[in-house]
Amino acid sequence: MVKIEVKDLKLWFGNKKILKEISMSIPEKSVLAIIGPSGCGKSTFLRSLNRMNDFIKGVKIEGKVYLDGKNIYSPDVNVFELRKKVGMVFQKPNPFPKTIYENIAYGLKIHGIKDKKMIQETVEKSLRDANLWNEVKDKLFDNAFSLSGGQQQRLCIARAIAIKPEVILMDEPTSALDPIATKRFENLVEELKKDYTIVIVTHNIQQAARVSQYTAFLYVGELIEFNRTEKIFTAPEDKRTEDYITGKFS
Amino acid sequence: MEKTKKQEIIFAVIKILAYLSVVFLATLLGYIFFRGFKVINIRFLTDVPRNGITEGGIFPAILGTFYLVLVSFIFAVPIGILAGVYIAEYTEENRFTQFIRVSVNILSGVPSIVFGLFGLAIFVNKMHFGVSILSGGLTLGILILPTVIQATIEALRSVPYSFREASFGIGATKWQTVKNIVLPTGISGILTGIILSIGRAAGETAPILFTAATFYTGRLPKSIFDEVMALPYLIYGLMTTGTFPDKQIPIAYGASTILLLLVFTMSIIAIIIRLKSRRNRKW
Repeated sequence: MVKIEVKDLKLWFGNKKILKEISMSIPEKSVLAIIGPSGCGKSTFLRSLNRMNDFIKGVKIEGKVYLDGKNIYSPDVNVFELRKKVGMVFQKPNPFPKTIYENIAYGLKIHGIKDKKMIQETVEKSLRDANLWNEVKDKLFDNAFSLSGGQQQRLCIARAIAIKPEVILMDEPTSALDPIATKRFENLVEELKKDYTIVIVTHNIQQAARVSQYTAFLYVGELIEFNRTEKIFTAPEDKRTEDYITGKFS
Repeated sequence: MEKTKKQEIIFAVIKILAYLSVVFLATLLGYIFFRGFKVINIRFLTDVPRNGITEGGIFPAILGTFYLVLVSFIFAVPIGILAGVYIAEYTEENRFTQFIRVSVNILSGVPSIVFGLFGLAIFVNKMHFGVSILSGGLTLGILILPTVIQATIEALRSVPYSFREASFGIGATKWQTVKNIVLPTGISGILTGIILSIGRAAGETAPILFTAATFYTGRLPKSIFDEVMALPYLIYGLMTTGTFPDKQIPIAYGASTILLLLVFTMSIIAIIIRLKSRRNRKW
């Protein structure tokens, strides 16, 4: 089942063309890794999947992105509902300067959930699903900034999944974490893909190989290759893909 | 050797200059407090002036200043915060917003006596509020409005963009983000600015000169359309038009002391809030 279908996506910042005619089909309940050298448009591409680029001044987007067959750029789309369905985890852990509990409850409240009991249950379930519950269950009302970086990032996952998204976008989520926290995070991604479609941008080629079923290689705004991860890593079709994953350039 | 010598001399000069400002403050406070505390007692704070302000207390002036500050606060704080939110969150940097910000800056530089004249022309005469708490409070409100706006803009600009991004990322609207994330995060900065501006409003004489204050009235105000006594104007009046200087000048010093204590309390509260929020701030 295809979850997201990208068709001829083009994006400019001012006069600079950042993404060039990108098309791909992202299968449901799997992990897609997007790899490529710095400045190749990975993050920009990711952010065009939940329209987080809309905030950038001078951005121009053409082409279509279908989520369950519905173009997210069509004028009748409610962008807030879209972002509820397509959650996001950022490069640097960015919890709110509130309690751990409030960090998760906030998303529920803004989407109109008022029932206290339901909020409590969802907070617990989200923290459990993010493998964080055991570490924080006794300090739910401490400030989120008292957590370690790795815990903060898992809290951000919990915050994202609390509002029951279908897709989770991750923008280099482990780049600020140490190796142990990174390992835990990758294990979590492994578990989450049973329920969610995950698109993860990563600088770390080994990470892509470890966590993903599909890999897309972007180079200067162009999609060079999209395939099953084992295919990309064992028999890439394009010379540039091979050079990149073998470390000839980065 | 030459270099270090030179450096030492410059350091010494800078150090003396820095201490000098502390000396000025200490002298000023010492002098006012020394003369002021002689007359301050419970009666001075709670009684009305008697015998042509040669005896009794200054309670009506304290109360009047409180009312004036309250009205200016009610007027300036909501408008100032909302204007600041609008400029900081809802506008992009362009000619128009630059124009607004420059206007706010200029407004904060306008001499306070001009605000007084403006208040007289608009609130007292045009709008027929008369010489009253309302006119004076509104005039003071306009005076402190730029400070509140600037404090709000500064406070909101210091909130990291990543907080907003996180909020948008879970489908929050701009207003939900501003209300639930940005404002609570920046609130201590806004509060600090507001409290300092309250101190300023309490101490200003010129804006209330023609709009609200009266040198002497035996009765306490019954509505916002009454004129009031006010601390700064009382001091001014006692020193310029008083006919019994030997009895009235000590009262002026007493009133000055109260006014200073009031302004100081405001500054100290502002400093405490700032320190506290800095300590709690972890991002």
